[in-house]
Amino acid sequence: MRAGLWLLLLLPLAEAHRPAGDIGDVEITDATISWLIPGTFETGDEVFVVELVMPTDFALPFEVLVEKRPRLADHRPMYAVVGPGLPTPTADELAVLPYPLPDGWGVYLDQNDLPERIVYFEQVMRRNMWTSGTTALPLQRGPNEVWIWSPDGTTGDFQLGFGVEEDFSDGGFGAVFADWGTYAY
Amino acid sequence: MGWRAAALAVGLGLSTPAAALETDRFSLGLPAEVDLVGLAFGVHPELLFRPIQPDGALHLRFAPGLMVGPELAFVPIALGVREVMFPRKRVRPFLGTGLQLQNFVPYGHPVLTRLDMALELGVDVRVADQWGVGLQLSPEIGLVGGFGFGMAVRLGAQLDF
Repeated sequence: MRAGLWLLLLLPLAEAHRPAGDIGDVEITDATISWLIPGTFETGDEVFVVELVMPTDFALPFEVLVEKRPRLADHRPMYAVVGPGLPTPTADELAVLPYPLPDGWGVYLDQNDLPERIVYFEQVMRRNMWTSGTTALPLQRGPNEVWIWSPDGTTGDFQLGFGVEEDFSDGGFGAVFADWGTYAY
Repeated sequence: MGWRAAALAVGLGLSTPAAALETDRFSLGLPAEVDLVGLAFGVHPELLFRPIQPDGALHLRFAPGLMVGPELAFVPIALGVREVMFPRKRVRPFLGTGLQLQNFVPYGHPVLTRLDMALELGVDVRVADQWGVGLQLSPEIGLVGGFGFGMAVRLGAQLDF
């Protein structure tokens, strides 16, 4: 089930984790700021898709975060960044992907399977999270996608983090206050 | 006046204000606290000192606490000033500000320390000569060691001594 579709337009590059808002078209004005997109696996068989339209080549860091709670100890959403110029997948990687790769596209697959998960404390809202770890990927100008799914069918919330540095110097709290329950405990 | 009498006078002169200082200028608050950003519960005792007058408006505040929540524990240590309006009335609203050293202990993560600016908005209601009950709201914002928010609600009793 294709559960989410976001179109992110990365404008000329300008700034940890600023909420990007919920499902819908979002214009990211500055990819050097890090952003968060929240989602929830209600049934466990959803695949969330983030479409990225890059205005220029840019190495963009990604990670998937899950709240550190006992209930979510086995909730390890997997993600794949797909787009032109990314590595050619192995047969094993192709078998794991939820969709066929578009012609000419490569993939970076993060199976979020570290035996001991990395703990990240998000100071702004004082949240304790498990993270898949951050990996920066060289994306090419034009369309790219991120696919997020729950390989074991687990349910629960997740957040996709992308971008470089936390920066709230010019505000950016609107989505926090508009959707307090998502970002605060 | 001989030196013994002078010494006695000085001694008396010192002992009377000292007694007043000990009995009138301090308060001890014992509030329970709920932190609404990074949910946590605990106690945040506070020692108040009135430096100008025993029944004055200005208070200096020192407050170490201990909070425990589902995702983290933390130990705030606050130092600040509080201005009490109508300090001789039964109902005493107050405003305060200060610095709060936040020692966060997220479970499974190393301790993180941050210095916040904390504000206070509250009311103390006198229920007996030396006793009051109070409610406080305290927003916090990270200044040094990382940016972030905080919001504490405190409810408790206060003893003057």
